[in-house]
Amino acid sequence: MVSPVTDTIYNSDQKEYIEGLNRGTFDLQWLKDERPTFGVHAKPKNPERGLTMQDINAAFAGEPEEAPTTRVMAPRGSIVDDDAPDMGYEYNEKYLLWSDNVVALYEEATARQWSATRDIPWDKLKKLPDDLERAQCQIATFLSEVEMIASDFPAKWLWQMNQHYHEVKMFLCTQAMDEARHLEVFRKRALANGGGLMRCLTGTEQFLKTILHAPTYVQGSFLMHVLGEGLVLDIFRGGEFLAHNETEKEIYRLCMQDEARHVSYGTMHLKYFLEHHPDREKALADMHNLADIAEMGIPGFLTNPFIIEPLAVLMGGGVKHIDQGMDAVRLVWGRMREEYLSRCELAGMDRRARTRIPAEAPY
Amino acid sequence: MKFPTVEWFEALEAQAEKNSDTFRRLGYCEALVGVKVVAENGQQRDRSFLLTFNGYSCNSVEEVDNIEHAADFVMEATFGTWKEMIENITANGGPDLSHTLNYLVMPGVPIKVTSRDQLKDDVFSRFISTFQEFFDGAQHVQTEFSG
Repeated sequence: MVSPVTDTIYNSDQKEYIEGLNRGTFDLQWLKDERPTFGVHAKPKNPERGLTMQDINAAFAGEPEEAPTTRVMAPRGSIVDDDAPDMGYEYNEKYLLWSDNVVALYEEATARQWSATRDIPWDKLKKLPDDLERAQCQIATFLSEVEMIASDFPAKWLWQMNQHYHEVKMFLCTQAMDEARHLEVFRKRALANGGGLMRCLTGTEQFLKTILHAPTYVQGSFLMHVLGEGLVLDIFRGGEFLAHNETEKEIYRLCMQDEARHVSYGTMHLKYFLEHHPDREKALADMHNLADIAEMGIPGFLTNPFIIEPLAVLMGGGVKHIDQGMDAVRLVWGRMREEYLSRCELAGMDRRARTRIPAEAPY
Repeated sequence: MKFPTVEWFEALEAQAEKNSDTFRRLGYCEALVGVKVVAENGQQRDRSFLLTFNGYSCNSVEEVDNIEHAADFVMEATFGTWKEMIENITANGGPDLSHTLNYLVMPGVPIKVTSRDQLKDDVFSRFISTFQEFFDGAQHVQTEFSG
């Protein structure tokens, strides 16, 4: 018994289709459509690894268009109805979000995920002297605070990016997950060994707000991926160096991997943006102006006692030897500056003659 | 097994194969890693090895002359530094806190990392867990230091 087709549920096209079905007539248009990807047999380049995004891009639709005409969620390479609704994407040009390493970085990210619950040897966390535990927890508090900006920031921009560039969106999703895990692991560290959560500072919150409210994606990406995460990558490397047990070693080592991917994307996005911008000179001047202002925050960051003194205490092995520990801070200062300038240079924005970051720590 | 030789690194490769579950969990790795052993105490010449990671661990090793042109980054240290690191890994069943790769590299001494550009330099950080696990395999290799 076939249910009656009521006027209140189905529109006229649906009623016509249902009546056809009831007569045994099927539409089958989907079998007659042109199929741009018909006959594509993407194969893993490396069977041990499996089928990668690079493999399917090499087989079909590898290079996204410079400026797709559609604003839809339909996957690149599919057939789209002419009257599909406009999603309101505002980032519809490749140079505004692309980087040439983003596909590889996405595969790398998905292959190298880890669990803050399972993969950290929490049983090797040792009781530390009070000053060392407080120092470690002050840093863990800071990192719990700052890391989620790199989840919030891409989340803010993702829906504005044309789905034609799905690889960028997918990579940013991995970044959001990475940073959620970083918040998790440092919160766990702070609360796992007696030290607890410590002080968060106005200046840090102000910098995070600057990133979150950056007027364009590339500006925010530069502030976050290149400047901010570049600095945090050095803090992670310093954290591994200063770790007082296997637990902290593993935390910082695994975080280093994630952070370095984000910095690599940001550096290569800046490069792509500058190389493909229709008015390269203006774009470069604008980014220099942004960097002029943003860099002024770095000396403030590296003269903040809530950041540099815990590092110095960990390096020195206790507050009694904090003077010796300041060597580590000077080291981080020098490394951070040099690596930041090298990344800018690689991206085509040479800052060496212009940077406001002093070459040496003023202490 | 003599260090530094291609055979010694291949022994680490074999250890990684035995420990493949761990390497698979760490994830796929694409990197060209240079290891430079600087001669000292009357040794005749520096030795440089290119370790190709294109899988879950290292899958080929070769001794090369111009390592700086072949590798993403080069870890350069004296024979004595490498010897101390390997002996520490062997003695402790893994490195102690002051003999991990990052610990030895971070200050620029005793292991110096060089690369063609910062993106290549960052490869060290992107796959550090795999590299560390690879060198940790030294604890299972009978090493003879040929200095």
